[in-house]
Amino acid sequence: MSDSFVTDPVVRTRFCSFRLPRRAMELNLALMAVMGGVLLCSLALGETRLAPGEVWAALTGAGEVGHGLLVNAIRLPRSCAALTAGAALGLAGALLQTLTRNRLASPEVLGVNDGGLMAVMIVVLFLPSASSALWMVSAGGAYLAFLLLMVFSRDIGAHGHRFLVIGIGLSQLLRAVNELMLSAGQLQHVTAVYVWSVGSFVGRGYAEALPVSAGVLFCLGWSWRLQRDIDLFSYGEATAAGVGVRTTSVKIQTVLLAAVSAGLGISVGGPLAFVALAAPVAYARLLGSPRLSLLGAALCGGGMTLTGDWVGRILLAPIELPAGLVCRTLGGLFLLWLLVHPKGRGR
Amino acid sequence: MNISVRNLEIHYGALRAVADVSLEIAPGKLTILVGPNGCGKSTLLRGISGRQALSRGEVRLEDTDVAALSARERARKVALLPQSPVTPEGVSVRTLVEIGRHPHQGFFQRWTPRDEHAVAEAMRRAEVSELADRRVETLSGGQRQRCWLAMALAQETPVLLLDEPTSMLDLGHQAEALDLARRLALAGKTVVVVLHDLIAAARYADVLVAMRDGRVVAEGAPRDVVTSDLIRELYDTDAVILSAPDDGAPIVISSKTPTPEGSDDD
Repeated sequence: MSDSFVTDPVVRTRFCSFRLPRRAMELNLALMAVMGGVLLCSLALGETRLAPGEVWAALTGAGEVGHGLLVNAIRLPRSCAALTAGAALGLAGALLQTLTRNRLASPEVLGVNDGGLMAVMIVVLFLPSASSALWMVSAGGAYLAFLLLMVFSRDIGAHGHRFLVIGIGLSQLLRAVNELMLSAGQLQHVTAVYVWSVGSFVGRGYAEALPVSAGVLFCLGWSWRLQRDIDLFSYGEATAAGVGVRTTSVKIQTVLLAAVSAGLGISVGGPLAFVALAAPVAYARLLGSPRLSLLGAALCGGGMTLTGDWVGRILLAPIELPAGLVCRTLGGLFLLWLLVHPKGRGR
Repeated sequence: MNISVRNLEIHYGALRAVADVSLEIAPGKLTILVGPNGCGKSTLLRGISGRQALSRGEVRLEDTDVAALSARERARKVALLPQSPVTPEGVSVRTLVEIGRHPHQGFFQRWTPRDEHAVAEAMRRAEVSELADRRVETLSGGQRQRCWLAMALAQETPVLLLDEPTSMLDLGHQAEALDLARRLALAGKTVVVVLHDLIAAARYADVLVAMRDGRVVAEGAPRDVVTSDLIRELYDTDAVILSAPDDGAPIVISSKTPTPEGSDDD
């Protein structure tokens, strides 16, 4: 599969001219259709099974009160929360991978997740009265970890691998402190923190999903503007600067955007591992182009968490598997399949 | 577009790579920078391009200070082909050449007929049209170099700076690339090329600029400046200067040292 645009239709008017990326648009539509399907499944199937008609009735407020409550107050908000978190994580992963020019970069590798976890742990273990808005606490912790990372690596992204290595060091350090706190904490608190640390959407809803999705939409809009400069960044900084990209400004924007979306991503359901890492790669493989697509990574990320949450709910029902665990398992298998699959390994 | 380099100094930390260089580079002529490895010729080229922090001095394009231009304005005036640019995996030749259009594209005007024409023309001139749909990583070093040359041409700038554009080309393609550089200069562009191949430089340059240790040691038409004294000053080696049978351009060949290895005792 080539990245060639020869066959893409060109749109030209007096005010604008551009090429429609036909394949990417088809893929995005297909992904959205799949996600719509999974969303319907997650509304209908669970411990209580609903027929499609009953889901529709519940959504429109016409059905049984119990079904209405189940769909509108529990399943839909929770699915929205999963979708939002995944989109934010996918976006964060794509941005970090752009910045470091390394496909292994992601918030969990760089210690951002551990920062969020640490903040949550401190609040749960030492200030239990303040644990009503945990999502803000975890986002705050993630930002602090990101800030530390920036301070230690000084020049943003000038040396991608330096950024990465410092991030790995930071994450190990934070993880050690986290585990120390876990081993010293009281059992009931520790259990609560453990569930949070794996990543799960149990009990999540609009309270988290609405503010976070507003943030994610803002980030997506911003990254749409940034996508072209980011494409040029993959040719190296010298070439990007040579064709007129303001490289410093683009790097700062990328870092800010990555930090904001990573913080949002882990704030909803906890530090879901692997989504940020796998979503950009999965999208690139599906598209058959090495280009890092920010929107595509967000779509894939959202799809992964939505599916992970639903599968975790039904797989071993009535036991609920945390979405983080499912994402790691399914995502890992999916990524391995994509990478080993002979088709799409280039011509 | 006339380039004036005034008292230019560039440091890498404590190392002075370019020391007090002043040059006037005129359009319509092919200017070639030569000198031994590490003499600062590539650094000078980057300094001229405005993409290198200057320690002292200035570079002016006509009346404009290059450092005062925005990245975009600069990219519409000066194209720089770096020595060994990175091509990301999976990129086709056409896509690579298209990135040269970036400084001309707006947020709404992203693919005009002019862009399309410039890309086709650049690929034709650099002779990579037949490779358009190939992936760059599947090409040979020389083909890749021509693709990058096409990218710089697609930028359609009045100033073209090429850092070792022929280092991987065979004799035929080297001649074509330098002929092309010469034709572009004749058509009114300001073309500056860094070459390590002194024979090719002396044959194609209208103006030869020789550097050593960050300084310009000679500047002028190859016939006037290429002497065995200059070769000794630049490369610490003895050479014989011949003259080409067709146009009289100087040809430099190193003289053989008669002493066998090991018996050298000076």
